[in-house]
Amino acid sequence: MNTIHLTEEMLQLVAIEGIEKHPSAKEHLRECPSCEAQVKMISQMIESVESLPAATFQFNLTDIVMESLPERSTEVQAKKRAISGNLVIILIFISALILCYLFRKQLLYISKIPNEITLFLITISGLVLLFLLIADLVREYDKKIEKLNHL
Amino acid sequence: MNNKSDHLLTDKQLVQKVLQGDTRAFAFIIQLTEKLVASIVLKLIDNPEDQKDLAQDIYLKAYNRLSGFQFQSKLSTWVAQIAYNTCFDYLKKKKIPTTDMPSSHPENGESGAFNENFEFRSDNPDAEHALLTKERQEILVTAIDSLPPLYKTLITLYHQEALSYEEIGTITNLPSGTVKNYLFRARKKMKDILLLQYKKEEL
Repeated sequence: MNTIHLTEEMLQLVAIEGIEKHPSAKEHLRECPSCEAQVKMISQMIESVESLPAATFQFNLTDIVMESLPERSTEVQAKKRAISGNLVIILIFISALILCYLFRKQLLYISKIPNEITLFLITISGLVLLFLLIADLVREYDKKIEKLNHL
Repeated sequence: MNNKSDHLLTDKQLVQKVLQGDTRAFAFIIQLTEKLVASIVLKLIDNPEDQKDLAQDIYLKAYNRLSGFQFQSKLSTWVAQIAYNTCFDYLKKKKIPTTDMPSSHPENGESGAFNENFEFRSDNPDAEHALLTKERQEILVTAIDSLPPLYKTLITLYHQEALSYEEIGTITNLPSGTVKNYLFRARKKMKDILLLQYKKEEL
């Protein structure tokens, strides 16, 4: 008989995986009551651990979490917001054009710019710049909101 | 969304639904992973109030980071990883050690001296069937509770949640070999605690 006792690692492996997977330990275990008892004890211990009731929270986790969930800006919501934002900008732009056209004489008088085309070009350039500025602001805002949502 | 159809959803479908704004899908993710998260939080954290706060924090983090989930592991493993990291950060902040000092090789064990003097007796029926009684189960729970937090978690994840070394490694950010090694240590430590207890009772 092999008089050297099985290592702790081997005792555990035999207890968990079974003696068939570790034939080298078979002979020693047959003749060593101490190691055999240890294997038995480890298997009983593991069996008992496995049969322990599962840990559960003493509160309703789903309710607590769901109450505190931030509003998610979904892709669809983001697209909808972008579309509605663009529509508002276009509407402002068109309204401004119409107003410019309707009050072109007054504008000419106020600005004392003799040439109607020049005034029109200046107004259009101003509006385009305003449009780009607003579009940029909206894009920046969306980016920041998206970042906050993923913090 | 009803529960019956939810069971058929894959991790990917569930995540997509949440990202599209379906909060009920997230509630389902909570239900799916709650047991695993509880086994981590309750083993690592003792204070009930902190357990509650951390559990909430874990799922808020999961919700906010969901768009970054790469599907490289199961969704439950990913949530468990967040749970473990959140609890671990908490323990670090509170300066609570998560393992004992690994000063000795697992084979020698931390209480090797005790084993040298203690001989198993296979002819003792009480020792053989000790763990089968309710009283012994209580001793076992006490033994598990007296393990360092990381060992407790590993024992629970491996023996109760039946996770593989790889999955546990993903959750705890440890290599599989280390997980295996720590598990040996944990079982050894638990066994020594139990033996000490039996020895006390026999005296």
